[in-house]
Amino acid sequence: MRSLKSLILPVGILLGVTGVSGLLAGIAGFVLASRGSLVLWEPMASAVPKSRHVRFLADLWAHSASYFVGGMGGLFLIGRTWLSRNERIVAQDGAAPGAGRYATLAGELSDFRRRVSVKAVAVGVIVVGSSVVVGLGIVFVWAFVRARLGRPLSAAEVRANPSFLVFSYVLVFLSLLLGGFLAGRIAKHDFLLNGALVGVVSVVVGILTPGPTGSWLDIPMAALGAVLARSRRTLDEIQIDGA
Amino acid sequence: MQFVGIVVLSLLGAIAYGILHDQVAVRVCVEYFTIGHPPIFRTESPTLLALGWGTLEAGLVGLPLGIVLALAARARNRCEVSNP
Repeated sequence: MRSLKSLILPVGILLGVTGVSGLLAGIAGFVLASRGSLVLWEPMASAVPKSRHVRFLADLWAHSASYFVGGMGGLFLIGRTWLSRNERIVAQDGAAPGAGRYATLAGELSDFRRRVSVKAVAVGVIVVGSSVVVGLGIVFVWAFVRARLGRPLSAAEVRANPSFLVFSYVLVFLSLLLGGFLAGRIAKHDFLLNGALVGVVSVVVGILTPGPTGSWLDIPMAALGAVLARSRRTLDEIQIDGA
Repeated sequence: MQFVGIVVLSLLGAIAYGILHDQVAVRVCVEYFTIGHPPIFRTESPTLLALGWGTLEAGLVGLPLGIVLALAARARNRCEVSNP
């Protein structure tokens, strides 16, 4: 078992890392919003005074990063705590101290590389990107048809349209779900990790390019898709065994 | 007792972090709390607003994580229970 005293330093480090991440994300949000790469979406865009949008986005990014790093770091700490207990049991049984699977950083990195399927993550990301592009293409066709019918919409009107907002969220959610699902199906192992990596790449691409992706919520959405692939695979295996 | 201590450590650590974080954030953009959050804390003071939201939000994250961390640290393995 792990004592309270042994967890004070890891919890302190986690809070420190979370703080630095929040600070860096806040600065990044401020810089990107100042450049116009990042804009506040409706309905918040109308509610917040225009002069405060940049600062609002800086706060939003700092908070999002704190939640994400704190939450993921907390889960990592829980996993490490549990694994460290197993290592101690192995050591008590006669193995050399630190001989566990996760004993060294190099060992962990090697294990990480083995678990990640680059092909699965790449396919997942391409599927997410393609789905979003196809979905936005539908919006452009809709705007084009309206223009042809003599009822044109400006880009600002399209962005402020509630139907477009709902469509964007649903489109991104389904794209990430599909991308994560396919990543899980291709990898056939470590579903959560490979799905989450699809989400991580999607966040990075979304930040660097103008588009509806880029929220840290992309990560759990893609991970959910991969978990669904695992459930589907388990069902398939049951059917094969039963046949 | 160690179990409760780990939960309290996580909870208090998260709340302390949340309060510090929001004290800075509220001074960057008070509208993030007055417009971006529901009006739970009816105060005009940015300091009290950040104190309230920092405690509430961080506590809601720190408490469940603390409970799971305490379980990971202190719950008995089946083999530990069976061994004399």
